Parts: sequence; C-alpha cells; structure tokens
Amino acid sequence: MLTKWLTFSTLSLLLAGCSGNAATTWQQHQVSSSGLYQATLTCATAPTVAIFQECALQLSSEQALPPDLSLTVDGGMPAHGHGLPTAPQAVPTGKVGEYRIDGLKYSMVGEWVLGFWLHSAAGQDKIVFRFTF
Amino acid sequence: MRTTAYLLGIALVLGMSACNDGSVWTAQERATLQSLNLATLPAAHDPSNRFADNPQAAALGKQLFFDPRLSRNGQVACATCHRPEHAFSDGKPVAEALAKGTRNTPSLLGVAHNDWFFWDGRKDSLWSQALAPLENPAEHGFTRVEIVRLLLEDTAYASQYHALLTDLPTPETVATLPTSASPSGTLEQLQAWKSMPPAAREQVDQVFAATGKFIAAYVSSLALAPNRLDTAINNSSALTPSEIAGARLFMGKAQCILCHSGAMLTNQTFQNIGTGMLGKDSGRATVLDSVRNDRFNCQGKYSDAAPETCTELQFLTRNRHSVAGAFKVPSLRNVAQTAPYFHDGRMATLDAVIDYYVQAAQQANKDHDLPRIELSDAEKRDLIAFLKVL
Ligand code: HEC
Ligand code: HEC
Repeated sequence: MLTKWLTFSTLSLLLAGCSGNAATTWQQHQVSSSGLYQATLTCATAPTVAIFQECALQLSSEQALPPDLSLTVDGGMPAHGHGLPTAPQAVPTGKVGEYRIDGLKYSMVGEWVLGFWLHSAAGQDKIVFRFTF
Repeated sequence: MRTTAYLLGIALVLGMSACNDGSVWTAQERATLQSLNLATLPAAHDPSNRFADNPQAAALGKQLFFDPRLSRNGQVACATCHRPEHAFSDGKPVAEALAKGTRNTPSLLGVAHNDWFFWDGRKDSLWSQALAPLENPAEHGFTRVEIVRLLLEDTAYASQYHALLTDLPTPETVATLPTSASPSGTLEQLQAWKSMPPAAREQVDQVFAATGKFIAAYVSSLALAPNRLDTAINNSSALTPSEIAGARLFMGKAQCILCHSGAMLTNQTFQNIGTGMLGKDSGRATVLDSVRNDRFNCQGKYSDAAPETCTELQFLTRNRHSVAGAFKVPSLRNVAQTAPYFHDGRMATLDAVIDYYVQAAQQANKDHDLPRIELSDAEKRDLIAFLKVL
C-alpha cells in the first residue's frame, strides 16, 4: 500500500516536473437528488488508475443530519457498462457529516460515476458525482 | 525510507528529462509512456509472507520449484510448466502434467507485482498460490501430508527447514501421519485427513504454508528486465517507425491502454472481454466466495500480515454479476515469448489476438467491456510490432 502510494506521488511529481504545477487535492461538489444535502468529495490527489484513492466525503444540510444516517458507495463507467472494481465503504470519521472513503479504486481512465446512497429512517436519498479523467 | 529516496530520485531524473524533449513523442504521449516505464514500478512487497525477502528461504524455494519429487508420479515440478527458457511459461495452449488442464500457463517474470494470482484471481498471495498446484490432481497431484513427510524425512531439506522454522513436527509425529491425506483431496484422502488429531493437522498446515512461502520467496525473485520501450523514452531511435506507430495506436486509437496500463501493462483488475464461456468458465465470478473463505488467504491464521492491512481482500467486490466472464488483465511484458494467448490459450498468435479485438468490438449486442475499435491491416502490423517490443 505505502509503496503504491509512493509510486503514485512519484507520478504526480513527474507530471508536476513538466507543467510547473504542484500536486493539489481534488474536490467535487454535488447536491443530493432531493436537494436536501450538499456534499463535497475531497481526495488527496486527482483520480488515478489501479491505486486505492484517499478520499473523504463531507455532508451538510439546512437541517440537522439524521442520527441514523448511513452511506453505501456505488459507481462505475456508464460508457463501458461496468461497475467499480472494488467494494468501497464510507466510514464515519466522528466529525459531523464526515465520512472516510475506504477501498475506492478506478480501473481505467474515462468517464466515471461515483454514487453515495444515503439511508435513514427519514428516507433514501442519493448523491451522484460524475467526472472524467 | 530507501524506497522513498529512490522513487524521488527517479522522479527527478525522469522529470528533468521530460522537459527537454524535441523527440517524436508529444508531451501527453511522453507522460503515458513514462507511466509504462519499469522504473516506476515499486519494489514488490508481501507482508503476509515473513520469508518473502529472506535469501535462505528463496534458495530453498528454488530447490522446491525445480524438484519433481514433489508430485504423485515423481516427474512434475513447478518448472515442468513454468520453464525458464519460455519466460517461465510452457508454450502450450493449456497446461498438461498428470492430466490436461483447462488454463494457459502464465509467465512468472515480475509476477510478484500482481495483486491477484491465477486468471480468475482465486489466490491473493504468491505463497497461497504455490500451495494449489501441489495438490491439484492434474498438476503435482500430491497431498500436503506427503509433502510434509518428504521434506522432513529428506536430510538436505530437513536441515534447511529446521534452520528457518521452529515447532516442526518431531520424527515420531511424522511417522504417525497417514500415507496420504488432505482436506482438498479424494474422498479417501479427506477421510484420512479427518482421522488425524487436530494438533497434527495444524502442524501439517503450518509446514505446508511455510513451504508455499519458501517457494514464493523464490518466485518473487524472478525479475523483469527492462525492455526496449523502457529505454525508448530518452532514445526514440531505439524503436523503428513501425514500432513507434504501434505505440501510438496502443495508447490512442486502439485503446489497449484502458486495461493494459501501468508499468506491468495491466490495471490489475478483472475485465470481461467476451472470452468467458457460460456454464464452463465464467472466470472471476466463480471465485469471489472461495477467495474470502480460503484458509490460506491474507486474513487467515497462516498469514503474517495484520488482517486489517489486507486491503485487496477487505474491499473485494461482492457483486458476482459485475465480474461474470471477467478474467485478469494479464501483463504484456515479454508477451512475444508467451504464446498461446488468453486464459485458455485459444489464440495461437498475436495476429489472432488483434483480429479478435477488432472483431469482438464490432459485435452488435456486445456484453463485454471492450471499446469499439477499427484498425487497418497496416495498423494491425504496427500494433503487433509494438507488442513485440514489450
Ligand atoms: C501442470 C502445469 C503447472 C504446474 C506443475 C505448475 N503450474 Fe503454475 N500455473 C499453471 C497454470 C495453467 C496456471 C494458470 C491457472 C489458472 O489461472 O487457473 C498457473 C499459474 C501460476 C501462477 C499465477 C501467475 C499469475 O500471473 O496469476 C503462479 C505464481 C504459479 N503458477 C506458480 C507455480 C508454482 C510455484 C508451481 C509449483 C508449486 C506451479 N506453478 C506449478 C501451470 C502449472
Ligand atoms: C477492457 C479491457 C481490455 C482492453 C481494452 C484490452 N485488453 Fe487485452 N486483455 C484483457 C483481458 C481481460 C485479457 C485476458 C483475457 C482472457 O484470458 O480470456 C487480455 C489479454 C490480452 C493478450 C493476451 C496475453 C496473454 O498472455 O495471454 C494480449 C496480447 C492483449 N490482451 C493485447 C491487447 C491489445 C493489443 C489491446 C488493444 C487492441 C488490448 N489487449 C485491449 C483486457 C483488455
């Protein structure tokens, strides 16, 4: 794991070496289907292939978040008709509305969908990020 | 720490050279080519095998790898199928030892860099993998009890085992073991296994697992040599015009890089390219449960890794449907030396493989992950010329 992460930093450095930009975190914002929740997905780096991604999801809402809120992760490549190569998990970090995303990987470059299902007694909702890399 | 410094070093060297090109590659092509470079491959690491980097274990593993006595008929060694002169593959469509198998023998050069082993990835470490052929009735056809007895009764092996392991069964215990017994053998062998006291079974499994770890220490030392592409980044005259055109197709129009990416030329995942056969071999989908339940997996008691560090296993997909007909994307390094191709060796040549990719992509109701591509005959020739560089 550690070594994989290092290679990955090596690659970022490589790219940075030519363009002059330092590697920065990668962020996406999205509103849930119902409009009730705002979400920010933050990853240590822009998406890359075949390496576990280090990401976190921050949820916020006008109302207080349901106490029994739990999240499941889903996703895939619409153009190729396949899902995520692994089964990632959203783990509460202890901070209100913050979830660490463990076990997320992408298998190829292209257009991806990354979805979070929000479950609680109050009902279901979902947040869908779409991005291309 | 050493790795960090080393990787940073590479980054700097490559980074600097990347800025003064003036070569045949565009900046984007260069970046992609760099991602395929062997120099970017980190050292392989297997925390589940405490002997992985132990030279004594690797030396012992090498003897085991080439020893035909570890088989039912005394004639089958790992090296029978993984032949050094064929990049550790065998040149046959499917493997054949005690009986004809169903799968093609892959090369073992650089294999330690893989996340999963076998075409369907039913093993999550090299040491656990090594145990499978020993008890496969079509391959070595042996049982773990016979293996343990042979190794501990052979003076040359026994002294090496004693140097590396503690708590080995005493000669008296070994003498009480049944002739042939295994939980995954024939009905008779299974009954013999069940008749053994739990402590004896435990001891046998310990020695058996350690044997896998010694073999894995050797197998993981089978390193890849840099190919012409690895040197071509800074010296484009290392490639012919046809090979350069092929590289461009591989990274561009032919879209091979979608799956064959990174320094191993594989994204380390399982992809359905339409080669599975319903009811006969549906690849990855059939092994998701067995990987999780394997007593020799990364989270099992014979593993040397902390269970929570077994990330591949922990986040293994549970969606069978999504991996039906999927096989491991193989590395393409040394691919010119490892014909025939695909999990069942159905393709005799690289020409046949490329024709398949072009035809499969044209299918009307495609139920596989391949992009639609079109290639002229000249382009196919260029692409094949490039594959031979790898
Ligand atoms: C009868 C021929 C045969 C023998 C003997 C044999 N293998 Fe293999 N090996 C194969 C075949 C065929 C596969 C692929 C099987 C599959 O995917 O189901 C394979 C796969 C492997 C792999 C996985 C490679 C990858 O990229 O996934 C490794 C590692 C390996 N063998 C090592 C060994 C070792 C170590 C031994 C001895 C203990 C051994 N093999 C004995 C034929 C053989
Ligand atoms: C969608 C992912 C994907 C794409 C795109 C892809 N491949 Fe593959 N490739 C695979 C998989 C999976 C296998 C193994 C299939 C099997 O064993 O049944 C494979 C096998 C191969 C093999 C056989 C290797 C061996 O050792 O048997 C070659 C050669 C190959 N691919 C070359 C290419 C080329 C050239 C392209 C571009 C035209 C390409 N691939 C595009 C996934 C892909």
